[in-house]
Amino acid sequence: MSDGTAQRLQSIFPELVPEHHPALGVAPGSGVSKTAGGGQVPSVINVPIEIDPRIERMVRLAILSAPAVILVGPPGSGKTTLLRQVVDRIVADPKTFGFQAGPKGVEWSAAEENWSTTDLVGGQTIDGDELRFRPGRVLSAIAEGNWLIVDEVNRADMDRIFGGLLTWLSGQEVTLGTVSPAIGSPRVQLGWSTGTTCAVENEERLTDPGSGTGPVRYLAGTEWRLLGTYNALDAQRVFRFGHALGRRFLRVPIPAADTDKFRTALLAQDHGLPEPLLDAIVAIYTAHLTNSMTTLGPALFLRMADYIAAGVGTDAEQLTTVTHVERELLAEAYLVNVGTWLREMEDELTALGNAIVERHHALSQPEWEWVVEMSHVLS
Amino acid sequence: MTDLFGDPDDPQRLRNGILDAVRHGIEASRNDSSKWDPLYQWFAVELGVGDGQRGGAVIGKLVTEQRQIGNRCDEMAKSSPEYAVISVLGDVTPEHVLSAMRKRGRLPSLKAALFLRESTPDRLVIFDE
Repeated sequence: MSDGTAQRLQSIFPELVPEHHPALGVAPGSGVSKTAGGGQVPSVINVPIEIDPRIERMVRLAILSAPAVILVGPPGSGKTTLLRQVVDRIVADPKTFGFQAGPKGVEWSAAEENWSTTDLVGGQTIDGDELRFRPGRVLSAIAEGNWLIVDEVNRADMDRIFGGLLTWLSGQEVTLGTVSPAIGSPRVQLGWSTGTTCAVENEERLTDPGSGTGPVRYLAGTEWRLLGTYNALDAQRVFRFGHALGRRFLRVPIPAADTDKFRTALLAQDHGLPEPLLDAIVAIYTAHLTNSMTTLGPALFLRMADYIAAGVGTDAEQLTTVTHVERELLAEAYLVNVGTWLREMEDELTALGNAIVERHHALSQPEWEWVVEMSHVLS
Repeated sequence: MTDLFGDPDDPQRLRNGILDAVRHGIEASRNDSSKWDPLYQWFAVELGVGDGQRGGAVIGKLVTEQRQIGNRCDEMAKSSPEYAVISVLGDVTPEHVLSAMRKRGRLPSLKAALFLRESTPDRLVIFDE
């Protein structure tokens, strides 16, 4: 220790072991740093929301006990993050989670509206000047021994795509088609292995149909998994799961975090925003939580703090009220992060507005009306 | 050296002095702008640091809630202090505050920080690496 004053402090408090840390100069790329213009660059660090241990257990046990599992919850509730965390841990240490071998890897896909059975499962497609069977995502994942995870499955018409696989998801073998349209061409079948690992029989016949007549068989191991997330309030599009398909999936609810957990996560972001602004964000989140039709996950509202921090200074020592400009920033942050979803809640907007304006006093009536008016442009 | 007024280097006397100053800061009204003046004067008189005035080389801070941490860090950064005495209460920990200070990275002149839980010394952090 070179500093004499620090040495004196050490002698005054001999019970404290002095800790030597790096100087607190500007740390590039970390946290919130001032830009030349006085604005702030938001942190890219994700602030985790504390997940209820019981929810996490449900996710873990559902994956262990069933071949197909979907996490269902409002947008921004952390479904994908939770699924990724659980799956990563299973891949890293499968035995701890009750699997013998676990997956070799994981294939993530984001569902798309124009997906067909050929895309997801497999089917005949033009290969040069002839029709050939091409494996889709499910078959490719099985061939590699990987789990398949489909994010936002609500964006694809899974009833139509997976309709032919209901029997397979029930544990039976199904025929998906033939390798080519030629008479006598080998069939392509999808079934289940009796062991934990996946296998493909006669795969070479996909490229050389004349090499034999026996079927090409994709056999998912008993530890193979099809996992997904489902958002019932997708601003883009929602395809409902039919009951028949829904029965084949275990569905685990991922609710939005309660107000206390949201507040904790918001404070952990540590933007240094004036306390009344933080309270207002919490109040808006809480207003959304009061009605299941308007409930949204915390991620959307946590981003509001990023927006406001970009536009407001943190010289807030004496601030006890929110200024007019900060009220505007709050409304803007709400609009750009949540406005799209407001279009999905039109029947509930009056009650939501009352909660935000009159009960929680988070926005003024004119600001609320401005948010609603501007949100029409987003739809 | 011992004289009528006691040994000026007596650690116990110095300790009592700074802890009295911290207690004054804790017990004063939140809006009392002079609540840390005894601390600043103690540093000036006993250690020869600063001029005993607010906004100088020393800063005192009291953090009673986690949501105050960001603002307190920003307030510290305004005056480029060399020494900070930070008292935490409730569920706030020195690590919470230190983490926020580190994250902001806006205290390049800070040489040392003494953290106390209320008025009990807890950590002495020296920024010299």
